[in-house]
Amino acid sequence: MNPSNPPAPTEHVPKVGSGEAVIAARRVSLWYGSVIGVNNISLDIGQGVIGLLGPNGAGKSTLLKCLTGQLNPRTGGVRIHGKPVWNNAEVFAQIGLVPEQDAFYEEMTGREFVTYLTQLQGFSKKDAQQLADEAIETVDLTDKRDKAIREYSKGMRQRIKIAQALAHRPSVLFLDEPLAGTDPVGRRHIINMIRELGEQGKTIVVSSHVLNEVESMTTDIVLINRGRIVADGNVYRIREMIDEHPHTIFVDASDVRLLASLLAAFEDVVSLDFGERGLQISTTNPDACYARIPELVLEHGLTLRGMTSPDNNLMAVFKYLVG
Amino acid sequence: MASDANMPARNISTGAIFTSLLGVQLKQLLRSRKTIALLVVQLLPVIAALVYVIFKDVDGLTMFRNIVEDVTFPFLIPLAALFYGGPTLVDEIEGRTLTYLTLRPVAKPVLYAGKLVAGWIVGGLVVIVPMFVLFLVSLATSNDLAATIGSMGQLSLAAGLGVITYCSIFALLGALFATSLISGIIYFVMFEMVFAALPVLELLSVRYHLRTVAGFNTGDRLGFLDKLILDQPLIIPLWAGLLILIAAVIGAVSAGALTFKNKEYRV
Repeated sequence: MNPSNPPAPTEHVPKVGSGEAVIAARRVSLWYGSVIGVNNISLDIGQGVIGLLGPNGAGKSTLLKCLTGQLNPRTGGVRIHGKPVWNNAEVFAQIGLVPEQDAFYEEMTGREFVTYLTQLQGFSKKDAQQLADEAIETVDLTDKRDKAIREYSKGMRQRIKIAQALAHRPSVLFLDEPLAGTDPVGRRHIINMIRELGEQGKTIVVSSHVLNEVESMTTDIVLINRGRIVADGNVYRIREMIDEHPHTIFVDASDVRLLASLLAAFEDVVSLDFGERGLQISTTNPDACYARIPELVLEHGLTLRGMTSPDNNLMAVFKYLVG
Repeated sequence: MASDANMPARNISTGAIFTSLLGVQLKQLLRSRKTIALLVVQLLPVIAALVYVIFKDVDGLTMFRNIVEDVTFPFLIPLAALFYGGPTLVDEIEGRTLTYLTLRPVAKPVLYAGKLVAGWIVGGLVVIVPMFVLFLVSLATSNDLAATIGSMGQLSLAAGLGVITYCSIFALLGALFATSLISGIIYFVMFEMVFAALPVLELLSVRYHLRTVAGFNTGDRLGFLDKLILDQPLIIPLWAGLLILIAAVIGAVSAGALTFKNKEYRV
């Protein structure tokens, strides 16, 4: 499709975010051989933080690549601020991207990396360095900015990736799994930063397969599965749908059998299984269960080594939504 | 972060971004390990020449021309180009850093050109500097200084053009196949070794035209098969060889830049 084509009169175009549409995708499809990555997606995205949520392999990254002009949809098109994205250098001055891949110019320092990419946004070296320093400060990495990136931890690498996307102060920001590999403190910092940027009126698209992550940043979400939008709008509605389905929690603790016997007394606990990842709990009231587990652990002197939730809770909702 | 209203001036002209890209690329290439490794390889003929000068009674000019004709042009120049031209895009694709570059407000062909020109410059330095050192070593035993200096000028020009041509071809192969080493080696064996030894087909090799531009004895046949078909070796004028190489560079750079512009690279 020519991206200048207006949507068909009968076409319903989901809209997320506030204000006018900043990003407009129309009938975007892209496939890899016979595998469909994105299937006929039309979407308007306004200002604020928008969560792009879906399980691994749902098509989030492919959609993000279409929205940022890295991939050219086989049909349909994407516009940002009314201008087509594919091969349009003008648009790239206004967008920032935190890519999913853990890829860097490893021999550069964090400061050199951000400065270089900011220079390529049209700033003089001096200005680019100043902007880079500010962005690095924003992601709380100033004391490590002169270390080579190859010496960075996973969380630091994630933060320097965010800094390069922020330094030229784009009005549209795309973040693909921005919290991957971050520690709890870094996580909180990045979440707060994204929320603040959203409040400043920027358009921020955050892709993630973890509902809790997205929920901590925004209430506006787009659910995607098998390359299609299956739901959009308020996260609380999605949360309700999820809560209608049994929710799985993996717990790794010092005495999982004792913990299992304690949890078995609660009505919301549907099943308990022992596996390689520890105790697998299936519950119809995840919030209560999440709160209860640490209490029980403390009360009975156990050691809690980890508590995770796979994305199959989301899968249950997707199956429900897709019918 | 300061507010967006306090943003410094921005110049997203092609020239400004090209200059920034070229500067950083040059710095990156000059301090890369491959540059040191290649310099060592390129200096091997100099060491060999030193040994000859010290222990044998040789004519410097003859030795210099023999080394340059038999080692530098057929092998060391393509080797340098394979390392600096081929990776123009491939390093970014394999390193998965291409995304950072393609999201900058500059046309993809400009990105391609900026990276390629940096490869030309560093590749040229890595070839010509050792050649110049070799020349200095040869001067010690040469009786004809004027002829040697003139010869060095022409050889430097040809070597530079050789680096540019091979780099552009290897960069094009990288843009087409997203891998440069294998495609580069296949190209080199087919065009620069097999075709270069076959009558008429030798005109398709860069090597043939570089020999013309370098002023090597064009009476020498590259391929023994020539003798089976042609009475005389194919000889073209210097200006024609020069034009063919320039046309090859323009064609390869244009094709590479267009490929990069229109092709999607999955990183």
